[in-house]
Amino acid sequence: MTNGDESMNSELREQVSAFVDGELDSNEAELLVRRLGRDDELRSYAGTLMNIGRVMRGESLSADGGFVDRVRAGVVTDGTERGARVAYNPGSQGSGMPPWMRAAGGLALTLGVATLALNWMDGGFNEQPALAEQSAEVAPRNAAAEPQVDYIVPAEVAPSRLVIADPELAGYVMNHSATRRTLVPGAGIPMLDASSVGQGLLESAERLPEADAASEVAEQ
Amino acid sequence: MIAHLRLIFGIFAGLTLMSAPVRAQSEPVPLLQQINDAMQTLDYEGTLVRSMDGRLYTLHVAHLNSDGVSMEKLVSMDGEPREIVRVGNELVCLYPNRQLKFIDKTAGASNAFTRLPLVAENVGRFYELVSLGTDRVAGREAKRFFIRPKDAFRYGHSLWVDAETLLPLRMQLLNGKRVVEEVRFTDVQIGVEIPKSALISDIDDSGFQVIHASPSELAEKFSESPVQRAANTLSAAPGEVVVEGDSASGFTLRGPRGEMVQVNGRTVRRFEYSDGIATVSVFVAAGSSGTGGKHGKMGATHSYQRSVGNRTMTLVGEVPLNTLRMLAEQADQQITALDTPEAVATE
Repeated sequence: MTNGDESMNSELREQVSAFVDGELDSNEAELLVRRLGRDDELRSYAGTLMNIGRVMRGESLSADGGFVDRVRAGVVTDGTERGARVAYNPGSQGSGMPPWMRAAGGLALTLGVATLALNWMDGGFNEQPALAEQSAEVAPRNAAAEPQVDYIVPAEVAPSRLVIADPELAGYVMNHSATRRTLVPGAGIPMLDASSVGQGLLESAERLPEADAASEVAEQ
Repeated sequence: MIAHLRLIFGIFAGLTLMSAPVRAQSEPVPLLQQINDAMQTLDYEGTLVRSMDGRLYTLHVAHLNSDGVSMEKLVSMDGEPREIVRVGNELVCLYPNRQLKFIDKTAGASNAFTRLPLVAENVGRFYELVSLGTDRVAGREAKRFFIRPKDAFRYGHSLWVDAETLLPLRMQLLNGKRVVEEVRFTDVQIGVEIPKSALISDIDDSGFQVIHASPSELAEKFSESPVQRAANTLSAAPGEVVVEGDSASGFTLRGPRGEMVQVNGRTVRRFEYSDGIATVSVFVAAGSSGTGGKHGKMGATHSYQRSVGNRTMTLVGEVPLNTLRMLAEQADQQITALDTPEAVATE
């Protein structure tokens, strides 16, 4: 480390380390990302940790620019970059994780996957948890002689506990879904129930002047 | 502690990589173009199951191409009744229980059926195509592919396409081994004759509340309305933009220069970013939301909102949350640059 590191207090260094490992909670990560955006020294330190991780994972540092270069470009990530490389083997049974990941269980990837299950939007997550598991586990079994494909997996950050069904965000999701480009039929359609869009849609209806009720599309 | 964990991580990851068999890899664009053509030009009908966040949605879909215009109707088979009809650029969602009608006429935007992502040349930079042999889906022979991301800013796509027609039959968005969203046909008929009448809604929507996603039509009719006045303050300008820059995220801004859309009763600007596969909508609204940043998710779709100065940016896309955060920084700078008087004058 350079002399500059001495000016960085140990608490901050710990925080960056936790950040790199994906161990910061969402709010802390948010604050740190902003700080990284304006603190060259801190970015450099985070980049060094990232590169150490890459070397340890056997990845090339020059593969795609490196974290330091990226943050210097004004773009900062708070854990995505440290996504772990895994082998995608959809036909595998068992725990669904390779041995090395289980050995490092406690790392952010594991945490991230677990917390991803939080679904604030549709309010129906608890109704059919078994179906989620079925979808994730059963669906890939169809293929015989499943191949393995390794790739880097994003390290997800858990949704903040403060986040609840938010009608404002739901309205934006609805709009995005309507124009979403997809690779398959049916994926680019708004699946939000009116109930989940809720207040956002209703407020919209109340604020807008009534337009022609007739829809050219539906009447064709 | 970190060093030890990294050592364990590295050793086991190395062993795992060494055991991975070599697969044929190629540039994904040609296949994506063929898939896109198949989706637009083929007539087909079937049952789709969409899975996300532990819920399954079953839809009946009918698609036809009439004189070059893609038309499709989707009817939800479970849960709250919903009917979705698309004709060209126009989308109508009907919610009969709630007497609601959502209309989105994506005026000024690209054809909604241009499902091939906007920035095809980017695809090869951030993804590669891995052929995984053959499989069967909905009783049909399928070719199987994996669209592998080259970094951690995007999801992997497992894709099954009909061996004969290249119509996609099944897709999984994957975060590692976890399927974050899946769409698949459980039965499908391809090349069958579908009358236009099959796309006419059976729902009587008279008296429904009408919600417009795009204010363009309203703006014409109510030029002095609060909606239009709000729109005027947002300095939207016509024209297309392409802002690639040196973006680490790989997401390029392309398309209308801030298409005006209606969200939650507000007129906002919408920008579209794409890495060639995934798209992210960036909505910019005047005024601060007063929050330090909030986010949510539904299936593979994340949303993220934060206020910068006197405007609020909301990002929505089928990418990891961290990618949205990163893109927010990029979009803020690029949109600010677009809005400078000099940039507007040179268009």
